[in-house]
Amino acid sequence: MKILIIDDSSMIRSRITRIVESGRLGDVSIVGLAHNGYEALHLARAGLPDVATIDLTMPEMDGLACIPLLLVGHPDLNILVVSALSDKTTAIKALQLGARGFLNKPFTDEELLLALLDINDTRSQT
Amino acid sequence: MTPIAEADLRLVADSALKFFSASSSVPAKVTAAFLGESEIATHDFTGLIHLTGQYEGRVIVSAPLGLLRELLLTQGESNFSHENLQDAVGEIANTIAGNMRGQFGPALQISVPECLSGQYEWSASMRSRPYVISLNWSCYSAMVCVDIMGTGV
Repeated sequence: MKILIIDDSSMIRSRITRIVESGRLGDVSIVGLAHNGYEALHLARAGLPDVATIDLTMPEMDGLACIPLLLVGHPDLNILVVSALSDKTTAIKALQLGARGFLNKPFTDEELLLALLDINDTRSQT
Repeated sequence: MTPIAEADLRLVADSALKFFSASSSVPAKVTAAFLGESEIATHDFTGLIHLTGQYEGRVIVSAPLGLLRELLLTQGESNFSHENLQDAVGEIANTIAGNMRGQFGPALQISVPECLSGQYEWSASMRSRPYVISLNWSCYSAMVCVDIMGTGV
């Protein structure tokens, strides 16, 4: 699994990296760490990820703007939104734009792992 | 302009507590909740979120250097630069404010965090006496301050 991590918080990028590299997801490599949507698009072109975690509230280009642009270039990309915005309307909007899953912050290590396994399973079945 | 309800304040406290328990497995606890003065003394680092729409004002999270360093350590981060410490407090504020949308809905607009460093007297702008929630995590004290009023939108 090749993963792109997109979040404007370096603490969250570090945390997700630590969880992803814990060994519980099997063979995983992190293809990039992006701090906004523009950087995410650039890293996705270079790294060709299978999965991306994406925050929504980011400067310059936020997650809801980035998701459809990522999918234009990478239609098979499985996107997991990881956001503190916990209203249902935002979650539905993200899923309508093409995200495969939505995980609210704050999240435990286990919750993130399960969410990533879940969307990766979804990818395997399609 | 209308004040927020007690249940909504409880949500703010719960979000803060959940942040620490989910991120570190070490629980935090609320040590006090009260109406502060119009000027509030901050800790070393402060994250500030502007709210607009259904409610207007600011939510701030203020924490000491030691707390943020320890929090970064629990996240696997060993870079304790000024930027990273500001980022950490900003992320706590972002999480609490973002979780408020679960209660208030998408009409509540949340800014990207503004991060400040240094101890200073923060001035409330919406309420003469903002709500203050004091927390304790891993022997450090932190503060969440809610200075917002309902706009009736």
